[in-house]
Amino acid sequence: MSDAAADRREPVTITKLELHAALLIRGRGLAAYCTSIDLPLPAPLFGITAYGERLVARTGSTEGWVDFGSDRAARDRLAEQIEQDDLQIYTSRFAEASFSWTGPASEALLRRSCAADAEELGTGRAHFVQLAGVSAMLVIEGGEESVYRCWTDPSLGDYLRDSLRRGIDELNTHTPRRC
Amino acid sequence: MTDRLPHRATEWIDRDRPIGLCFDSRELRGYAGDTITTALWANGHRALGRSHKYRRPRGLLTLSNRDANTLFHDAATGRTNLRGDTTPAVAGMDLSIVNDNAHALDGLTDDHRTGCLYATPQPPGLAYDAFERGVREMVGLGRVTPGYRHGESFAEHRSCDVLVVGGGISGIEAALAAAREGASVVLVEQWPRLGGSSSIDTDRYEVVASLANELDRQPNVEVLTSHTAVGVYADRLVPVVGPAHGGEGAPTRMLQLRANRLVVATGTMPQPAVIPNNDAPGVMLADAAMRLIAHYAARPCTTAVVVTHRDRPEDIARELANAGVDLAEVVHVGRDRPAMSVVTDADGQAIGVTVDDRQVHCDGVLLDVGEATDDNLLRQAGGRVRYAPELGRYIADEVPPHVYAAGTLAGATDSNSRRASGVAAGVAAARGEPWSPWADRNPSRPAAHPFPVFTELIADEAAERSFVDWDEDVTLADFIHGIDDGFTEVDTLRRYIKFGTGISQGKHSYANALRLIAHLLGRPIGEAPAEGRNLPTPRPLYQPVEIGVLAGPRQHIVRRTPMHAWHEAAGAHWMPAGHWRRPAYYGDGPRAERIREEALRVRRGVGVVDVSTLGKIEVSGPDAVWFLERMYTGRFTKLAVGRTRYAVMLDRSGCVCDDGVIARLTDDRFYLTTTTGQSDAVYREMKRWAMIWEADVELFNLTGRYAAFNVAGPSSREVMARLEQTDLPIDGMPYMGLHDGVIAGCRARAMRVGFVGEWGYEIHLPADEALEVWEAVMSAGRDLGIGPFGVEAQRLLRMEKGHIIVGQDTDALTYPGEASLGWAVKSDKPYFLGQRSLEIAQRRPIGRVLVGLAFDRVKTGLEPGESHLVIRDGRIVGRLTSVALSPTLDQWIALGYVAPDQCEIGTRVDVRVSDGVTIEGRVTPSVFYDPEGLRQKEPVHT
Repeated sequence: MSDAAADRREPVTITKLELHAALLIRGRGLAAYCTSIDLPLPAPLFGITAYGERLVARTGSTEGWVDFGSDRAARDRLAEQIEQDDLQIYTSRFAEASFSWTGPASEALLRRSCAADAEELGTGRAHFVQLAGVSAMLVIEGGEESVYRCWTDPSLGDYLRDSLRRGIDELNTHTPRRC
Repeated sequence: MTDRLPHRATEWIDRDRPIGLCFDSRELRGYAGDTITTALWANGHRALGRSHKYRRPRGLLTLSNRDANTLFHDAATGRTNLRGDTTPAVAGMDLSIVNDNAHALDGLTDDHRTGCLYATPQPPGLAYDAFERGVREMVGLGRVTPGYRHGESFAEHRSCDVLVVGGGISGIEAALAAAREGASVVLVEQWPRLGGSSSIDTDRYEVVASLANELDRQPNVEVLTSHTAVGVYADRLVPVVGPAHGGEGAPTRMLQLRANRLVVATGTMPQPAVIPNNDAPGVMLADAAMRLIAHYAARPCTTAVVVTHRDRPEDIARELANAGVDLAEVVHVGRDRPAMSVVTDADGQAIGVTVDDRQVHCDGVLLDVGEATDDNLLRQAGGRVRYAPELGRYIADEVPPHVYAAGTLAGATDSNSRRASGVAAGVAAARGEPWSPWADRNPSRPAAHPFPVFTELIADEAAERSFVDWDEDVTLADFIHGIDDGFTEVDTLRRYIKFGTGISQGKHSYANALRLIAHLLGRPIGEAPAEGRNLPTPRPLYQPVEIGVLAGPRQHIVRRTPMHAWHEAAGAHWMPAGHWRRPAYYGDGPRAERIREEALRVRRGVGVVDVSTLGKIEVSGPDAVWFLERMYTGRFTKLAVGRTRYAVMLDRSGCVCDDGVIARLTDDRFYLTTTTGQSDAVYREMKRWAMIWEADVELFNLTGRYAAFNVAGPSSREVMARLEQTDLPIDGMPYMGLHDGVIAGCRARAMRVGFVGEWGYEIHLPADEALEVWEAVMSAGRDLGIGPFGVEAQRLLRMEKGHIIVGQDTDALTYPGEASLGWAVKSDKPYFLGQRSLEIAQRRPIGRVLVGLAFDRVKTGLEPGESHLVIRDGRIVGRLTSVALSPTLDQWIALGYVAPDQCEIGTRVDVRVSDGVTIEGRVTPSVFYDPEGLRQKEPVHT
């Protein structure tokens, strides 16, 4: 990208809000079981990794979930597979609102919305945070340009995205100052 | 017209950006960079406010974030209580002094002196009430502007390795040193430029500018000027307040900084002298006069008397001479300790001083009598100070881990030692090394200055005009009287005579107060029990902050169900339910008529209501049954798989706090609902108790992740049967039964429950699939007249059925038996939450009973309403909790509490409606409709 093009870029680009099909998997034998079915649930805690085209998040010592995007059938297949084994590994189908943002002012947007900053959070780890006053799971994906991906309760998705958009408007209006 | 001195290197005003503003409807001119006070002062205004209690005229005193009385109202924006010494002057301001009542209360001085709050008799009666109202009218500060809206701004959050508070020369050095060590550094300075006290000195200014440039080149340093650290909280969370973006008049924002290490380099605060009429406009700290000249190119006065503790205040004399100010006299209070007072004119402004009966004419009295350490933040951070007699002030003695003191606060005195102490603190902070007191490592520090304060025994009358604390008009006389009344400890005296409170929080008064107390009690300063190491900790906030800034942005959290857009398109009228928005009813036309239509549709055909807002929690694990038996009052051990049961939860006082339905999915897995309002609280309590009881359960809050809707009415079965579905025995599903299956291609959970008293199905499913199934249901029932119904119709229908709503038909003190829920409490269980309290409560006679009430003849305008009182013999014995005009019964009905001896069916009770008129109600069974429950248990063919 040329310098001129970079100058014209939006400070933050935010993706469309989507409701994703998700599957919660929980139980004491979670880690061993997931290994046995080749589900790479990150260990020990609060990590995120790829599972084919899916994202898998470890959200607790006995809990993790898989994001199936719009592929509900795949979610249902995995749920049935796990439940058939009857090893006190429980599954719950549910939905999660998801969107992401990227751009040069992404970190500034995070600062305006969250009591943590990117440096504290690091990349590739799942964090439960308060964004604009509501709970969300946040993962910063590193790379050439960081992508801030978040998941939240579907009932709060619109509110959260609107709140972040307001933050972006503020960033557009006022250049962050450095004296 | 503005009276400015020639340009100087140290000035902060931008002469290329003149601004126009109004003061008392008079236009005046200032410059960008002015504060309100300096703009007015440069335009010749001297009286810039009134004292809080006696309404005496006041001018500028400190010009450094400690002036308590220069408060303004800006009619252009509606902002009030703007502090003149810190608020930037902005073009277009329309300023006036807040509550500029003149001397109305001067004559009441005697009645309002020491401890008047505690000592003044207050006889009951109208006379005193009127007097109090009158006084309140006259005193106080600005009036809130109705409708004023604080500019919205996001709070910001940051973290850093080292936070340096104070941009004086020691703070700059600390920041530079830490940055050179590789630490990420944030430097906070309350003024628009760095330099602190060095910024008013032409010689040292160059050094500061050079260091500031070096700081700017450090990539790992962020400098926040015009920002104030207003407190230090646990783990070095430091709220910092400043403009949301560059430029005057920007909205203020709160920046919450979490620092691994904190360097406090807040310097010193010059203090006033306690002499008669020391509050008159024209009397100011010499430091303030120097700031006026150096930063704002404004002349403090034309003829000055300097009151100083120093033998040769050459720097002050030189700056005054450069500014064209005549120096009438230098009064040496440290050496000579003369008796002196300020002479005022009829307007209360300073026109001279008397020194040992000799009068000197002047229009400016500049006080240079010593300084106090600005240790507020250090002590908030857990640091301790000690009085250093050789320095005449308190300095840091001990600090908690990760906190450092630098500069004068650390005991440094001259410029070189302040810089060195800053470097030492910055390096130690970056490396994580412990702080050690500066003075201990540098025994060769310069000789100390004396710190004289006027504590001569001033005659009573003059003592009442010798102010110690400008915030609350506390005088020398108040201290004398307070100590005479037996308040000899700093902390109790402070509360008795009220010093150290208000806008400045004692920044200009505490040091003098400690000295006065010590002098009056005849003991050395720093040795009183409540001094030195045990000085009261100044509480946050360090400076006044607008409530809107503390509140932060208006984050009105709104939760939406997956069907929100569908409801909107269907003409929903919304109502709040906690954070949720729920359709109250649909369509245009009279509200009551729409609700009636929706209710009758359910009674006669089929309707659908969105109940996604219900709390939804999955409980699974080996201890799931045991856990639920403890959380709820009912029994669930024998609840069969595929069945549901009503459940009541009590709080620890035995009162009803929630209810819902518990469904058994498998032997060790349950799905339960809670009320909309309590869903988060119930989930939180469940998590907490699961940990306390060490229960082997997994909890998953599905409240927003699942949607739910209720298909209800005699035709609901037919609608469900028409849907493509598998594994759902629509015909064979018993009342309170449950099945997981596929509906309209989506996996869903169906429960046969009947909140509204009709045959019905409650469908629960993941939120991403809900709209599809909702629309499929609507499509399947189109020819049957299906339609949505809102919360209003739902509430009406359930009331006809006598189903209570926890939170509406109960309050925080309702026992289950009072709300006809005794049947749901299995008291013979070993344990459930609230059991013991309930057993105790049940030993007492029941106080009230929830009953049904019918109103036979209701005149228009005298309809019963929720919360209307049930009256007997002039006493309140109960209240109505739910009221509706029943379309089914064509009658006003209600649920409400009455006295226990009134609950017999047919008893007449009096209900007082809104305008005080009493109407008669008749006690009925609380179930008004289908008391046998046949309609929800047996199919009705329409």
